[in-house]
Amino acid sequence: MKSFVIFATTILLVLVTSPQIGAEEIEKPSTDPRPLWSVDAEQSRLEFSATQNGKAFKGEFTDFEAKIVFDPEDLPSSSIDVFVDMTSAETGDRQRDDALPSGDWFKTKEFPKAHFSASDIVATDNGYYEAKGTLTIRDVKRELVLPFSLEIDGPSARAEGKITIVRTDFGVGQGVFSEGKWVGLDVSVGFVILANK
Amino acid sequence: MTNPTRYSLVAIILHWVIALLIIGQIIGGLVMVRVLGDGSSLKFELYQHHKSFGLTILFLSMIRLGWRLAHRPPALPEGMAGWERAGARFSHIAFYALMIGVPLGGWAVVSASPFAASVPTYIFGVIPWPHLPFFENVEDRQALTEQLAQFHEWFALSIVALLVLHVGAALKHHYIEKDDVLTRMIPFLPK
Repeated sequence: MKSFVIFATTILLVLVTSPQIGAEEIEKPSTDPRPLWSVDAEQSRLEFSATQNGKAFKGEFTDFEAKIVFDPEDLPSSSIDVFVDMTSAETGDRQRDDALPSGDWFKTKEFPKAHFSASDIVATDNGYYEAKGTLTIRDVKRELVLPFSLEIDGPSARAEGKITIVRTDFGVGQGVFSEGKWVGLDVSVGFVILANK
Repeated sequence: MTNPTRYSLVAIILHWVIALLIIGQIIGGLVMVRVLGDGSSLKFELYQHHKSFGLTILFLSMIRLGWRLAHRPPALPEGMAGWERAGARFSHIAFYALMIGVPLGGWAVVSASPFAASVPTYIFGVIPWPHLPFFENVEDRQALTEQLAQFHEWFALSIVALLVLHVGAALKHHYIEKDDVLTRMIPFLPK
């Protein structure tokens, strides 16, 4: 009787634990062929520049998150997702920084984040790529092609890119600011991302 | 209680400081509205300074009005005709009304403007200053702002007319009547 109990318990344990072993094997990150890069927020920068009353100014989003799955050998399964906290815009000018979160501009209460999502990445040259994706600001989605350069050095990588967008395509700048008389329509957005595998 | 023979130093300083600021504001205001084109950075800077100096005039004028009510000014010279006394009294009251009313009107222009939400006021770039609250639900901000700005300009230009009268009267007192009406507003003259 005693030996039967031990036997039955052993069988039971095997039955209970074996599906978990199986699940672990499937979910194990090391077996995922797509490397996930984690962004070094300290070193990375997301900047923008535009003109106000004919004068150029620069700004920065100090808070953004990126989920980057990238393998130069496997571009079809690579993807980029960037979420930008629109309340984190700083331009070094109090009037501007007060204005940017307001309804005429980012309207951050309603649209706190901007999102860039790309899963169609192609190599254009050695170390140069283009990510075709969707940029969403103020809930307005636009397709765009983001060119960037990439250097991978073992476990760390450095990506750099720049693109010019038209702010009114996304409804940024309402009312009198929907024309470029006071604030230029073109906004250059640039980034330097340092990431580790 | 007898009247002093001269204005107090506080009254004299406030008079000349406010006078200079008003003249500067009228010139600056005309340049920024009439001369400079939309979207120039100088125009934007001038608007910001115009707001700062306008609010400065508002504060100083309110202090000055308080000082004027609390301190008896020197009496008008003997022998002035009734209409001259009435004219002097009218122009001084009108000056006070405009020194306080025109900056308040400018504040209304700024607060109603379609730029109000995107261009907050910082006095001399430092002290945050709110917009007036009455314009939040205005449908056509552009049209209202143009009307208010028109009134602001007319009242500001009426200061110029009053100034011509004021300076003319002071010079008449000094050179024709040869009394002390002008000199008692000049600082640091012996009593």
